[in-house]
Formats: sequence, C-alpha cells, structure tokens
Amino acid sequence: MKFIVDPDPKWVEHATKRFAAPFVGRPYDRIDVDPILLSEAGYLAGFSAKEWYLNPKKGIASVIAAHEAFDLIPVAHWWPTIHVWEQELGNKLEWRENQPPHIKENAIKTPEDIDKLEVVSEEEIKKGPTYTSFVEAFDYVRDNYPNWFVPLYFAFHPEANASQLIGLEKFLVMTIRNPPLCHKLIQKFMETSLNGCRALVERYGSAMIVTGSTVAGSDLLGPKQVKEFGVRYVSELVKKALKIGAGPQIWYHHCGNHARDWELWKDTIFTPFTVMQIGYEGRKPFPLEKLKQLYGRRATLMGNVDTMVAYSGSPTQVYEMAKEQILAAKDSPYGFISGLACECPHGSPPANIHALVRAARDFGKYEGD
Amino acid sequence: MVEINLSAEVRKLAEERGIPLEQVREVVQHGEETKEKLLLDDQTLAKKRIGTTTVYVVYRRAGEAIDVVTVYSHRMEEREVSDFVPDDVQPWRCGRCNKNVVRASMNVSYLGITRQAPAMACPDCGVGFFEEHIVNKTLCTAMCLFEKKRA
Repeated sequence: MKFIVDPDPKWVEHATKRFAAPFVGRPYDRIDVDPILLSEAGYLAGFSAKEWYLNPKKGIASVIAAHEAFDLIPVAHWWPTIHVWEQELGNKLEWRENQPPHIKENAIKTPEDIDKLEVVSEEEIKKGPTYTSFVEAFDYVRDNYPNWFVPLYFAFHPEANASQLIGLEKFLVMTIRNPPLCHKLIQKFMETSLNGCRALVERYGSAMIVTGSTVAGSDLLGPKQVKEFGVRYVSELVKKALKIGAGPQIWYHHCGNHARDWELWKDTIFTPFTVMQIGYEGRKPFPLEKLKQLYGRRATLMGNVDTMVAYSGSPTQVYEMAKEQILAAKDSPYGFISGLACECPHGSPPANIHALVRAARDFGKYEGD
Repeated sequence: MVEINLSAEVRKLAEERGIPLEQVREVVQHGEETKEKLLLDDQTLAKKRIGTTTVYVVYRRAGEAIDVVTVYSHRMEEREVSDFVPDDVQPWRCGRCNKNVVRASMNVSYLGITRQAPAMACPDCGVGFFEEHIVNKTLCTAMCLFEKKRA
C-alpha cells in the first residue's frame, strides 16, 4: 500500500500550469510558493526528521502530500542530507531525531591528508549512500507520481561541502595560510560530486542542478575570497554539469548572509531555466527589490522569508513578510516564486506555512488572470 | 566552389540533425567571407542563421578543401550578448579581432520567451557563439520545456 493518497489529478494539472508561468512568461493564477519542505513534510505526516532522511520513498511521498495540502509547487524534492557526496569521501554522519544529519567525524584530520584524498569514481559513487538514496527516491516518484518527477543533481555547495571534509575552522585557516591546498580540496570534492552527476544523468537522462554557496558568503569570507573559493567553483561545476547533460534547470540557493558578495554571483552561469535565491543581507532577508534589479533579467527569483520567523514567529509575521516580498518582486521580468530563505525548520507550525500561501493568494494574483 | 568533405560519421550526424550539405557550405562561406568565426589551432567554428535555424559548423582546411569536424543547429533566435567574464578565458580566438573569447551570456528567444544562455564571446567585437553541448543539451532541452510548459 502506498504511504500517501494519490494527489488529485485536477489539482496537479492546475499546479503544473501555475508552476510553469514564470518560466514561460505567461502569468497564470498567482505567484507560486515553495517553502522548501524537507523533513518538515515528515513532521506534517507524523514522523521524525531521522525517519524522513533515512526513508527516501516515505520522505519524498510526504513532500508530495504536503505540497498538495498547502497548494505549493508540484515538484517533489528530496535529498538525503546537505552533506551529499561527503560520506563517499570518508565523512561519517550522525542522524538525530528531529534535526538534519550532521558530521560525526571528518574524513580529513590534517591538511597533509588532502594530498592522499582520492576522487571517487563514477562506479564507486553508484555504490555509495548519496547516489543509492537519490535513486530510491527518484525511481519511486518516476514510477508512482510521474507528473512530479524532476530528478535533482544536488551538488549543493562545493566550497561548503569541501570545508566539511576537514572541518570549517581548519578550512577557514587554510583559505588564508594555504590557498592552493584549499583549492585542491574543493577540486577533489567537486570532481567526486560531478561523478555523481554523471551517474544520475546516465540513469535519468537529465537532472536539475541545485547549487550555490554557504561558506562563500559575507559572514566567513571577504568578497575577494568569495570570488576565489565560491564563484569560481560554482561556475566550473555548472559548466561541467551542463556538459555532462544536467540542466537546463538550475536552482542557485545562496544560503546565509551575502551582504558584501551578492553582486559577484552574476558571473556564474545562467540558463533559460534558472532560479536565483539569496538568503540574507546581514541578519535580515535579502531585499527582493535589490535582487530584482540585478538578477531579474537573468533568472526567476525566489523569495526568502526568514526561517526563524517560519519556525518561531506567528502566522501574521510570516504573512506580512511574505506580502512585502511578493509586492516587491511580483513584477520581476522572469517571474517570482515565494518561499523561505532556507529549508523550513522541522517542527514549524503548519499555520505558518498556510500564512505563506495565503499571502500569495492575497497579493500574488496576476493582473487580468 | 569549395570542396566540402564530410566523413561518413559526420554525414550521419548531419543527417540526424537535419542539416543539409548546402547549409554546411553556406555557413563555411559566411565564416570565411565575414570573418565571423572562431579559431582554435587548425579548427574554425562558424555559424549562420538560415531561415529559422542557426547552423554551426566546425571545420578545418585541407589544402583547397574543407574537412567538416562537426555540425549542430538550434531554432532559438540569438540576440544580444552580455555578462562578459574577463577572467574566464576560452581557448577559441575571434576571427576578426584575434583576441581570445571569454565566457559570456547570450539572450535567446523562442516562442516569444527571451532568456539567457551560456555562451563564449569576443570581448572586443562582441560576437557570441554557443558550444556544441550547450546547443545539443541545454538549448535542446530548454526548447522542449518551453513547448511543453506553453502547451
């Protein structure tokens, strides 16, 4: 027996048309909403974050159910952890009951070990936990909910994942004391990740590229370093992923504070189906008006309601923040999707997700539709 | 008339991609006459909009004749080039300016929708070209998605 009730085909048809609107410049219904429901979808279906991450089929099915229940985008996204492709390189993860998995033990103990680290081949990647769990989730959707099927090449963030192999503090010291070694580490992570891309594209024909930055942001690095350790590798990764056959859909998710480096990301690669999202300017959600000025003719923009407000704020606070963003970006040339600045925290009140959607209904209607 | 040589493999590719020999000749001629082409070692990349299709040909000179290396085409309308990234220098040189091209973006229109796509372009004269994988993978899938989503 399936875990969820099959989504209403009429709703799927309507949601699919609405989701296509920003990409084809044909307004339909209202601004769409994606609160990046991951283990929160499990919470809504009555199970833990740990269960969500460790059960790909059940996890992705819960996302489908939540997206229909809240009238969100008709795309089933799921990933086993943000530490993708790291276990294959030796990182050990630990799963916690109601939080995303975290690193228990770094693969690399000393900077000298970086030279010994080997890029994991495509054949080995296919046996690893990242690829096999993606395949379990995506095969399940392809076979059971084909309208929802969008395989992801979840590259995540090359510099951030590389930093997790040695530990963030050591990585940050290396960016100053030994930049060449830092580059070597990122390169090795990236090539391993791209072998994951090859394996996924071989299986599914294509895959949406999900990447961006976390460490390469304004809290930890200066703009020059963001360019050196972030922009350069995101560009290289996307360029190579496109050559492998991933894309053309790209979702750039620039996590955290990008107050001083937000303009640098315009030098990355934009395809006809690119979504651009920048989390914060300092501690506040990045202003959509600014994002629209620079990126509105490069990509479809995605909103960034504060995740802390989604978790611990009131529905009214979520509603007001979403309203402000929708009014600022609704007319962005290549469209706008309302959403949270990052993954919806596990345990966020359902009323807050409803408030996000309600704001889109109240203020995101397209003129004349 | 210049002799155009297509190996059996390239001929098959051209057939599969619906590019007749006459169009290949037209593109080569256009590249040679206008210098709107890119150069890399002994290879030349030229393109020409023919009807609603932009045809690309990579070729090399073999004495008086031309050996075709590959051909590809797309049905999007190529428009302005922007977002030159001077740090990302590509191996190809501009046939007019003799400068190395850099990574850039080119606007493309299809079914009335205009979006950006990754290209390589001359920082001096601004002429932009798409690489084969961008045309055959990225643009090809994008056209299918536009058609599907517009339906």
